[in-house]
Amino acid sequence: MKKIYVNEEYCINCHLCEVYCAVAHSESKDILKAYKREKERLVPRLVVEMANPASLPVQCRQCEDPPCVEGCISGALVYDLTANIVTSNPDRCVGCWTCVASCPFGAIHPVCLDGLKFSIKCDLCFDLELEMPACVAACPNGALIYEEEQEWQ
Amino acid sequence: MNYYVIIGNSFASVAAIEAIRRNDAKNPITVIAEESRIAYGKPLISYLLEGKVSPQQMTYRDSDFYQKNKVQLILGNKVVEVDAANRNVAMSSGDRLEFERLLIASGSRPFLPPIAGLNLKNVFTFVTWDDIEKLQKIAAPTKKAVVIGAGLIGLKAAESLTKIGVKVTVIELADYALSTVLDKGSAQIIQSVFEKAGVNFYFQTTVDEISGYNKAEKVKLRNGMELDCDFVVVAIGVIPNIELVKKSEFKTKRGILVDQYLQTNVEGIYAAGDVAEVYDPATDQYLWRPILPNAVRQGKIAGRNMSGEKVEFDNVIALNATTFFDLPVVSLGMSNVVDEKYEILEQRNDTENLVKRIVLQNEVVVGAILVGKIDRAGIFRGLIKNRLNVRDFKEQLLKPDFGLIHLPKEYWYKEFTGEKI
Repeated sequence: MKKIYVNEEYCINCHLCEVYCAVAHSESKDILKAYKREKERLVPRLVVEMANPASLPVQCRQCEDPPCVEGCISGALVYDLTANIVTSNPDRCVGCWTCVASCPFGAIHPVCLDGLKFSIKCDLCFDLELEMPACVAACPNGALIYEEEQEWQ
Repeated sequence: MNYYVIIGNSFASVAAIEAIRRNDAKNPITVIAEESRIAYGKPLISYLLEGKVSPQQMTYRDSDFYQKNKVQLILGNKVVEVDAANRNVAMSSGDRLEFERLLIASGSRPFLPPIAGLNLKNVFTFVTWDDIEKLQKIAAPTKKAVVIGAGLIGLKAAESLTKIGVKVTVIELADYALSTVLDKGSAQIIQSVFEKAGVNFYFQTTVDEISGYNKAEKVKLRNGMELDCDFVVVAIGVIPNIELVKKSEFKTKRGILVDQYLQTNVEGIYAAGDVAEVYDPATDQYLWRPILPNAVRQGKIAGRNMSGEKVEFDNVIALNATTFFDLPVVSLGMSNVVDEKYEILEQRNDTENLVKRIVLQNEVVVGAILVGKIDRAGIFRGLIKNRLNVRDFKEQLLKPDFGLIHLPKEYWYKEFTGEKI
């Protein structure tokens, strides 16, 4: 199963991963149109943390035993056994933020758009028909990689 | 042959079904539940009342959930007795059902204190969909309601009633709202949000009597006050539904006692969720923590153990998250403690409704409260769970951009790089 991994010493704190994540999940999927017409709706599903000079892109780890799913009151969050990812369904979410308070990586984010509250998270761009997640494709320095999960000793 | 029988059809039950089916695709599962509905998000009932969630959106899983998982549903039928010796359950219909493995996930019900007049019409509880359907017949603009209890349920009831135009008064025995999870200062911010929306509070008193001609019309408080009302909502807390095991040799205290594998003292019979009181090896005591994440976790672990695994339940730390009139509130772990042995780091802005309060004991985070801004609150849950010593980066904890990068590399390196440090 493939996951996004981080070469944190290569991260140059450019935040392009956030930009391309938001664009990939926008309506137009076009960076110029998205920033012109949907700017207030562009929300990245990962964050680049900063502690100068270091930086670290943080995205959902797609836990197999996810605490966010356990806390979900509405059934919006489920572990998708086919895609091996945790998915969040905004139509079911009521924005109680239990998932936000559950994730030890701080990888689920609260969003309020058009008066609706729902949580968003990295979905590995699984339904976007991309070769690899948009953040990985956009990283100019190889700080984000998409590869098979390592087996641990 | 009924191989797996599950009593109850809410969060612990659904989690157990999913866990069992990951190990065992074949053996039949039968679910028996008192409520005549498929599993729904119980905490959504306040959203249902205010119209934010439709009845169609209430279901906790897709409509084909039971069919896909090959579950036989027996709804509207209460299990009245678990016969451990003969390995069967007796239902209110009079039928008995044998089992090979049993999960008792019968949940909890509202605690009803000895108040005179509780049996009057228009006295409600606030935990089930049925409760909401009853309330919807009377809750309307200009009606007056008294909510007994300013805990999470009481306040969600007060919020949703206020949003549909009901004039609400909340009565609470403690000296502030949400006292089991918040410190007084944080609670006062929440209280002021309610007061701005028109809710009245009376603290350090309780309702002694509900009176009226056939229906609730007036409540009498212990402090001598009398309040007119059209209906009353009792939201004082919940008690586990353990009556069904009383005739057999089950060990119980407040709930049904189970070991760290969620098994009762009877082989092959498990309990999970609000009905279970779970052994915690770390503290050598039984813990009863009736919160949703606990129920799901326990249902999952019980389901795995019922279907051949041997997995320990790792006690879920206390976690409550919700919004009150759009103001987000999160409490984690030992969030409301005031003892001298704890160090408190706090940022508070009462005018902007912001609180960030971190509770430390011996340089370890043991609790946290976040009001207003709650993004990435889960990082604190991780710190509490992993008992990480924070001495070297304590000054970072309150910063707005606090993140994993401020923690020792070992904490996140393996997960994020896929490599050992």
